[in-house]
Amino acid sequence: MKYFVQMPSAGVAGEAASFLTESRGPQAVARPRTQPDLLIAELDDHDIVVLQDQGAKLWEDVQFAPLPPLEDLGGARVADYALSREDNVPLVDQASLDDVLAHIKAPEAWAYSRGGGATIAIVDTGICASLSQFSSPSPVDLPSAFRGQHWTDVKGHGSMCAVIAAGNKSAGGRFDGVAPDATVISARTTLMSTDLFLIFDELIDLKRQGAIAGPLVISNSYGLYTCTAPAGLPGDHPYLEVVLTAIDEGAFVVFAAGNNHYDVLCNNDPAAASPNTIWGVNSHDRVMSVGTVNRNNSNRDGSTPHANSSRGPGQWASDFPKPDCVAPTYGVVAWGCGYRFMDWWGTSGACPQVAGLGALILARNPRLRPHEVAEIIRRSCVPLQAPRECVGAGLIDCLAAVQLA
Amino acid sequence: MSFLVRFASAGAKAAFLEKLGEAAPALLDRVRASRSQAEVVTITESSAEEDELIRTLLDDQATTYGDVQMRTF
Repeated sequence: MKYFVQMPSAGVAGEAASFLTESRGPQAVARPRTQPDLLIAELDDHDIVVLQDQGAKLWEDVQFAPLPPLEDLGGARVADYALSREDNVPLVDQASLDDVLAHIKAPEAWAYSRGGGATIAIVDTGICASLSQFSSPSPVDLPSAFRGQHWTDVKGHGSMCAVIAAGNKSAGGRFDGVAPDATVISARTTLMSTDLFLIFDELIDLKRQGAIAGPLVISNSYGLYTCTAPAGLPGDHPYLEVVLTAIDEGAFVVFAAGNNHYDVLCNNDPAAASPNTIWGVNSHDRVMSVGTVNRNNSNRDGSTPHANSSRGPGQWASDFPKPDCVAPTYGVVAWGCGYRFMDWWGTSGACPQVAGLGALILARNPRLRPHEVAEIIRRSCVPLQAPRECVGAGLIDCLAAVQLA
Repeated sequence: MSFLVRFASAGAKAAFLEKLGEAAPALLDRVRASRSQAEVVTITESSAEEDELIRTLLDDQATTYGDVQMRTF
């Protein structure tokens, strides 16, 4: 993907250009004459990390497109088309986040709660701030590697998760998320355990100080891609401890189960319920671990990528086998500063649905403790005809869950 | 590299930070004491030389955890 890259000085930009020319060839890098500290370059994830270490600011390339006549959009808003970047996704006759929310009965739950007063921290790649999509974006600036840059998302993933959890059409977004009135904290991270530790540590402190006034939900759509028990993350690791401390402080913590089972990584039989591929903190009894299913409520059909949804019971789980539940992912969804169609959104896209549901529940009944929220969600799930290691308690049902709160 | 260190006590942590401040004061900018866990600190982006210094200053009761890279799902 191509980026604008602004370096701290012209000299550093020259060094960066040399580095990129050497690794990717002279055609991959351009240096504008009018802005000597700027590069335009094709970058991969490794390049981005290297350049950001040198103080780079990055902006993803944008694909502009002419506005078509209204009738070509079949009634879709012109603004929607204008906001479509990178992929010119057809905006009609395709499933989208709207359909996924109907699938889990989120709109029906809004008669009881829309998440107002609750806060959802999206621990991820950042959130694009150039579009107003949230009713209440938080100004909290966490002390991670991206202090001061949390509302930037050069990858796109974090924006997807944030809109799924708490997008708001009234604020200017194309989609409502599960909890459209919730406050959103962007916690942009390198996804290194030290950086994650600092983010959780600060969220705990903000909660203790009352700077986060109402209920707090923490959404974590990341983890370890591995087919066997991971080295380097022992059960006494401070990262686990700080996650558990956040739960002690009342935060409802949700993790993606992982995408390890089928052809993304481990190449297990897509119909099989084993072996376990949910690891580390994502598998702990006290966190909510979320798998994903397709529009037919299945993750055992190799014809859709949902068969990659990691299988339980979870490396560290004992009382509450993982996954706890599943949520569907398919269709057009936010990505970075625009929208795109994807066959699935990974368990990454399922996790923020449960984070949003946690916000709905806690907004309705702020006295609930995290384990009570988890129990309500599990108890209200629609059971599915699949082994528990694949789908947990079943498909989340926002309406039933909020009615139990 | 970056790592997390858990000390046997808050006092042991304070003693380490004092020694580190004397030996490499610039490194203190990259040390952050946990607010939620009194005996834990994170140290980020230390050089190989600094890593060696840190290991020298840590006593046997401190537990050091290497950093773990996770990825989005």
